[in-house]
Amino acid sequence: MTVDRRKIDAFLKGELKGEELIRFQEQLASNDELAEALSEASIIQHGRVELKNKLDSIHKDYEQNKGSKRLDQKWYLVAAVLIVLITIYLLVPKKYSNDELYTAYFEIAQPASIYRGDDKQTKSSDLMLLFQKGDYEQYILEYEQLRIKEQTEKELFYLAQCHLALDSPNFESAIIVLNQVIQSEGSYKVQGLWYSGLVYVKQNKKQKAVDRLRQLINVSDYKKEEARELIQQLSWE
Amino acid sequence: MKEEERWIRYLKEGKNEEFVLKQIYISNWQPILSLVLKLGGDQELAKDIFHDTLIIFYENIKNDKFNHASKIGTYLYGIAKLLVYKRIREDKKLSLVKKSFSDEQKVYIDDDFWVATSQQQEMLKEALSSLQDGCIKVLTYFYYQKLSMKQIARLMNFKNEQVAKNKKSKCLNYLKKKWKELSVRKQK
Repeated sequence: MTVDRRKIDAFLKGELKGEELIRFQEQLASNDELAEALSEASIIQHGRVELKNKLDSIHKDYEQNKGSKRLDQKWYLVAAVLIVLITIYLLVPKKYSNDELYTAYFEIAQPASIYRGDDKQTKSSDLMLLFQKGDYEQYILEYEQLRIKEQTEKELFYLAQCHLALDSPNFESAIIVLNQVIQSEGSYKVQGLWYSGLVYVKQNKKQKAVDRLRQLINVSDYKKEEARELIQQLSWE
Repeated sequence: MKEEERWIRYLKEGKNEEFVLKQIYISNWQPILSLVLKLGGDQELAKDIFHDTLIIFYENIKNDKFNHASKIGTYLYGIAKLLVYKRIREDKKLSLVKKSFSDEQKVYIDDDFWVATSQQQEMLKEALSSLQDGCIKVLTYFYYQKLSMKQIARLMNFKNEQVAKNKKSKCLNYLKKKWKELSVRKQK
């Protein structure tokens, strides 16, 4: 039996009346497929309503900011100043906070290989399996407990990722580990430069962030565009 | 990678959605407002059209119907224009303006697109309110935000994808049962 999507929408909108409504309700009580389609449609509507609420709140913030700017400008209505302000506004792109920049640019690194539980078990593959499962706390715990003597750069790098991926990220620990990764001068160095640059942005250490990002641009194409954008954003402060 | 491409990818993958939406909102509100005002609408209608435009844009990205050749601004403008045109047909208040819509934008709009008004939300609330918060989240992540089980497991702090899969099935069955119960109750 095919499901009539328009009928489902009409039901959710409250447009079905009388006989038509009774027929729909009878079908619903006995037709699993219809119940499933109605459930999906109701979740999609819920998603749309949630998104619309989010957009309403963005609009409210936008209007409030605009309103407060307008109020301030009343005190500064000198033509020359306005011209300068407008020029600056036109020349200088939008300024984001360091928190916003970090949120926009940060994403957890993903290992190139996929680890499975049935892989030949090594300390390294155990750890990477934990990382892949998103069990970041356990990774940190086991890394510390194992105290792997022959630490590879990869395990160190993903240890830093774990610190950053926690619900309450530990930026201090992440930066210590990332610095170790960079000092080891191996294949994870460029990623170390990117992530340490980002952490410095988050920590409001602008100069250190810019230094790291410039270093990255000089040695690799990895995240080059993003690094340039970030430096540009930071220079607007 | 260009900023816009990254934003599209972030929305597709469900990363930093709020930040990205805010940036797209700020950059595109004024052109859409001007468009609606020019066509005889008011600020409130412009807001409504813009929000529906962004929802359609968001869903098109999630459902792989976004035209990657377009700039976000052009794409949004195209959707908004079609939505205004639709409103003009439905609402005579805007019929004063006779504007050509021949310049085609490669945008996709589902003919049956609608968003529940606060009155229509009552029906949804009746069914969804009995679900646990976690259930609504899992179902919304899966059916609306189109996230993978792996992402859902991570966001919900589940042990693995299988747990997310089981939770989703359980919640969907619960919601189906709830709709059936409600229909039986209303028939009495």
